Amino acid sequence: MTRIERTLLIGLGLAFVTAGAAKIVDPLGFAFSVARLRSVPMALVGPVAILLPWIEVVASAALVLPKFRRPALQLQLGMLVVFTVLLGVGLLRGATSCGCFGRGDGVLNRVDVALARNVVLLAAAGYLLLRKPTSREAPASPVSGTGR
Amino acid sequence: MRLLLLIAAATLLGAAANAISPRGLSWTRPLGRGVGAEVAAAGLTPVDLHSASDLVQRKSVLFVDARPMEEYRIGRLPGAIPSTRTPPRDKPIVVYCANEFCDTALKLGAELKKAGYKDVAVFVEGYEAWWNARGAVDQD
Repeated sequence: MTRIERTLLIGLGLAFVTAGAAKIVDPLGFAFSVARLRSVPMALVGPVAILLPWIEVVASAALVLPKFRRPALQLQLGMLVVFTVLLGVGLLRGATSCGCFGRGDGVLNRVDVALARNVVLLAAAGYLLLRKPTSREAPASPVSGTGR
Repeated sequence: MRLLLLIAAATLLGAAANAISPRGLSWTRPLGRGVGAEVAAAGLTPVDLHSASDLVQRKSVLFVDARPMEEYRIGRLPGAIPSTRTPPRDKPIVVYCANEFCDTALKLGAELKKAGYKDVAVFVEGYEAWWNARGAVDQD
């Protein structure tokens, strides 16, 4: 893994763990943000507010485990795609704050800023998933016996 | 398989944390429990639909509409004034916005309280609940 790739990985991990932790400490605030975004049915506001922050944190923590790095990236990529769609719908419906980093109308929670940030994170996650693994990361070959 | 394992781990952690946390949410009505608590925490009195209907009939309070002006013009509770007008200090005030999860009524209520208004309440369910209950409305 090159230095750039490692930087992207750390950036993704930090973004998700920070966002998840901010929501975990204030679940009610996040539930309000989800409801105000008006992109999720009301029946799903509770489950989303309760589970999503933990999925973000677990997906970030799993990045440090080589065996779980790829599924963690897939999970983050999936979340980013869903978030981007929901933010887009929210923006069209007049939402201004996403609650991405907890309660408040700060710049990090602005829907337009969140959309731009998501595009960058999507590119990072997509690049890390699509890149060719280096020889040290490649699966063990039964012929050469590498990776034992 | 590992992807499902991650999701399962997060689900278990989330459910467990929610169950033991004093800030845990209801899975089905996460906001229903929260709005009243937030209103009360701000030192304001939460008012439900039934009480709001009673207060409108008795004309004993002044309703203040905290929604955008366009929505106010389309329809509002009888006698309600827009948030752009300064309410008189000699009447109890009930603030409302669109529904149970908008926060403009809560913010306005807290501002009024800070400005020295003594008797400030928030009609938590808001205009949508009033409209759905076929309550009378004023229109421009």
